[in-house]
Parts: sequence; structure tokens; C-alpha cells
Amino acid sequence: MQEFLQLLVSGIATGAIFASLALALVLIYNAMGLVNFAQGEMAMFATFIAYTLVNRGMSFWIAFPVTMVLAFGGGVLIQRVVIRPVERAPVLTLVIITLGLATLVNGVAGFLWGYVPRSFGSPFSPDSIDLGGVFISYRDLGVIAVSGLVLLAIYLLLQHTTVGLTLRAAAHHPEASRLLGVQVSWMLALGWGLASAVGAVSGMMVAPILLLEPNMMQTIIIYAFAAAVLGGIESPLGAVVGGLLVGVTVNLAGAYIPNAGDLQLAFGLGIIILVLILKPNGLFGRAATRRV
Amino acid sequence: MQRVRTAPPRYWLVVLVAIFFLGFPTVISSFLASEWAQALILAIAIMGLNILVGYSGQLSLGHGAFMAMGAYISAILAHRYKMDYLATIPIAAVVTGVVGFLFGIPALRLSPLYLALAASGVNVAGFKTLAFGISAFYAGTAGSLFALSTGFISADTFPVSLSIQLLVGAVVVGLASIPGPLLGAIFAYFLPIGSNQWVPSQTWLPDQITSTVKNAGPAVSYGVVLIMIMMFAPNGMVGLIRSGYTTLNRRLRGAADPKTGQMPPDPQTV
Repeated sequence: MQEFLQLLVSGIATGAIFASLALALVLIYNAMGLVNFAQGEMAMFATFIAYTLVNRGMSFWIAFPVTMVLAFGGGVLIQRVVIRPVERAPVLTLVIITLGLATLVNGVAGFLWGYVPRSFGSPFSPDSIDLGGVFISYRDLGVIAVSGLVLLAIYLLLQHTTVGLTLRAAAHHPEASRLLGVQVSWMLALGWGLASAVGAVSGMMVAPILLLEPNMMQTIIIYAFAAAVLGGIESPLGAVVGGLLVGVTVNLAGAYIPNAGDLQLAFGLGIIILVLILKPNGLFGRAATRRV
Repeated sequence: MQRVRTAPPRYWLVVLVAIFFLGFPTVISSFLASEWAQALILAIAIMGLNILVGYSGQLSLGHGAFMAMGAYISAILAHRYKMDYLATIPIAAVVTGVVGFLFGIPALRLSPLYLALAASGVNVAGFKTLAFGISAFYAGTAGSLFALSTGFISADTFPVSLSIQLLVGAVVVGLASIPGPLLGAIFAYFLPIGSNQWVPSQTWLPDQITSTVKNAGPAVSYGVVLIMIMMFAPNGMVGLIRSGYTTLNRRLRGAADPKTGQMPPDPQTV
């Protein structure tokens, strides 16, 4: 039982990491109707920036928000330079562009920092807290707390501020928003910036666990896709719930199914396929009906 | 269903190309021949991808996986069951094709638009799944040929970057174009060699440029190419030539607005 609870908690921590990246994917999907394949690489790049800052002597807890701001700026920049010129292009064109972006960002990261894995120190203490026999590590708790706060902040921003409302309006009803004077294009840039910042959190939280290298996020993003699809690709809440479910399931499966270690990724992919077959709209997605 | 008018088959071109490819390997070094063989294997996989992306409008990042499937089937049949090499190719191709077809099925359940089209009699779902299957068939063939030609495969031989390479090859010359896959494969295959060997060896280029290109590696080049093509020439080189030709044609025939010289806008096919 204790082992189960420990696995559950670390599954939630892993799930929080998936949830952050999944939320980034959902934000962009809501804004543009496409999956940003470069999200993981952008998160990785931001994490490298955090690493560089910490290495130059900055405390992690200062580097963290600084990196988020820089990631925000990067997201806006990418939207302005690469996406906006082809805003009206078919979705397939845009998706291929995000693929190109992923390859490019990965290559640039490799060029700047090389492919040798680096260790990224965790800002949390390595000790564990003993809750009646169940040992829960501070690192897991820290990841849950930090991710939870960021996700909560995004939720408050989107649901309870004017900016958030404008962003959602621009994403779901661009034409009507334009008529009301909303600068839809800049709202999309804002969406990209937010997504990039949230993704950066995912990267910074996972880097102490995996080693930091340009290909670090490539498995994480698969799980993030699974989480987003499971939760409903249009639903931010779904992304979070999906992330936690995927994290816990993959963790438990890895522990309780014999020899499942290497298959964990296949598990994630299997979730994607299963959801698409059984309930393509995910847990919280709405079945989109279009008048033909 | 209306019979679609296609251009009459240019048999002479097929014969010419066949003679070229049969004779070509005999006059170049065997190293170059094996390089070109790999490029052509890539071309087969890209042809498959082209059917899916260019003609059927679906995206697959998993074509490396279909290649892997074809490769592993061939390898196991040839090695463990001592089957004749050539005989393994059709088996690998067909099995991969069937698996691809099955994978295509869930891909269709995402858009209600297709239900509507199906209701009006067009079996869109069927064709799209078929496209997946045929596309996978080609990729499986390519993978099988790859395994038989290089004699060594592992789980790492077909990474995601291969699927990216295939995509670059498919879009650079032109999706839904006939020369696209072949020329695109040549481009995609030789691009890393270009950035790692050819560019650095050009002594007339300043050192900073050559060393940056060499260190940045093919990933950056692939990424840049993909983005540039999709931003400025989504129909690839063929598309640029076609639209350039059309613009020229129209200008000569006076379709431009006499006051402003503006041409009427082109339809986009991607």
C-alpha cells in the first residue's frame, strides 16, 4: 500500500510535468486549430537558457521567472516572424512549419550547447517527508506545487481577467472579435507566448529528473500529446486532468507490469490510439458539429 | 463517376529513365552507387509519403516507423527463416501496407466533415484509409530494401529525424508532383553530406560561414528548408516554377490589370 501511494505521488508529479506541456499544446490548439509540434523543443530551449542563467550564478528561483518571461518573449517572436506571415495558409502547411521549427530549434540547441547530457540541479531538497510510513520526496512535492501554481495562475488569467477573456474570444471567434476592435493577431501572439512560458515550466521541472540535452523533451511531448488527447484537445482543464492521469497510469504500469520499463512510451502512444478510437473528443472535449 | 482525363503515359520517358538507372551504376564508383541506392530507397518512401500528404492531405510523422517495419520483416524472414532476399520484399511491403491501412482507420474518426461527405456518397473515409495503406506499402518496400542493402538494422536506425527527412524530401520539390519524390529524395539525402562535407570544402567561402554550417548540422538545414518552403513556396520548387510560368504566360497574354500591373491571385493547392 505504501509503495502504491508513493508511486501515486510521483505519478502525480510526473503528471504535472505532462500537464504543463499539454496545456501549452491546448492553448495553441485553441488559438489556431493545430498542434504545435515544436512545443517540446521550445521548452527544452528555455530550459537551456535557465541552465545558462543558473550556471552564471543566478539563483534558481530568480532564473525561473526570468526564463518564463524570456520564453514568453520567444513564443511571441516565433508567432510574429514565422506564423503570422502564413496565418491564412491551410492547416497542413502550418503544421509542417511547426515540424520544421522543432527540427530547427533542436538543431540550434545542439549547435549552442552540444548533445552531451548535462545535469541540472533540482532546487528542492533530496530528502523525503515521512507521512505515516509513506515516504514522499520533497522533489515530487516541489514539482507538484510549482506546476500547480503556474497552472492555477494561467487558469485565473484566462477565466478571470479581461486579457484572458480577450484572448479566448480572439481564439474562438476571430471575426467577431475583430469587429469589436480586438487585435486578433496580437492575441494569437500572446497565446503563443503563454504557451511557450508554460512549456518552459515543464522543461525546468523535468530537467533535474532526466538529464538536460537537446532531445530531452522528445519523449515528454509524446506523453503530453497523450494527455491533451485524453483530456480533449480543446480543453485546458482536460489537459491538466489528462496529464495527471497519464502520469499516474504510466508510473503505475511501469512498476506493476513486469518488464514494462521500456514499454512505458509505447503505453503513452497506446493511450493516444485508444482514445482516438474509443472517444476521439477526449474526456472534456465537445463533439464539434459543423453545419454542412 | 466521371472519367478523369489524365495525360497520355509518356512511355519513352519511362524507357529513358530505366536505361539511365540501369547504366548509371556501372560508370560510377561503387561507393557513389551505394549512396545513390540509399537516396533512391528514400525516394520510394517519399513517394509513399507524397501519396498521403500531397494527394490525400494527411500528415504522417510515422513513416520512419513503417520503413522500420518493412526492414524488420525482411530482416527476420531473410535471417531467421533463410528466405530468399528478393522474396521478402513483397511480403514486407504487403504486411506494412495492411498495418498502415489499419492505422489509417482511427485517423478518420476525427472530423465530422467526413461523415457528411460520406453521406453524400463519396467514400472519403475509404479512400483516405487506402491512401494510408498504399503509402505504408511504399514505406515498407523502402525499409525492406534498406535492410537488404545495408545488412544491419536496429531500433535506432529509424528515428523521428528520418520521418522529418522524408517530409523535407516530399515538400521541397513539390507535394502532389510527379518529379517531387525523386528529386526531393536526392535533395534530402545529400543535404547532410552537403553541409558536412561539401560546404566546408569550398575554400572560397569565409571560415565563419563554413564552420557554422558544419557545426550547426543537418537538423538546422532541414528545419530552415522546411520552414522556408512552407512559408514561401508551399508547392515546392515545382510550384514556384508552375506559378512563375503561369504568371509569365498570363502577363504575355495580357491578364494583368492594365492600370496597376497586378495579376489576379493564384489558387493554392496544398
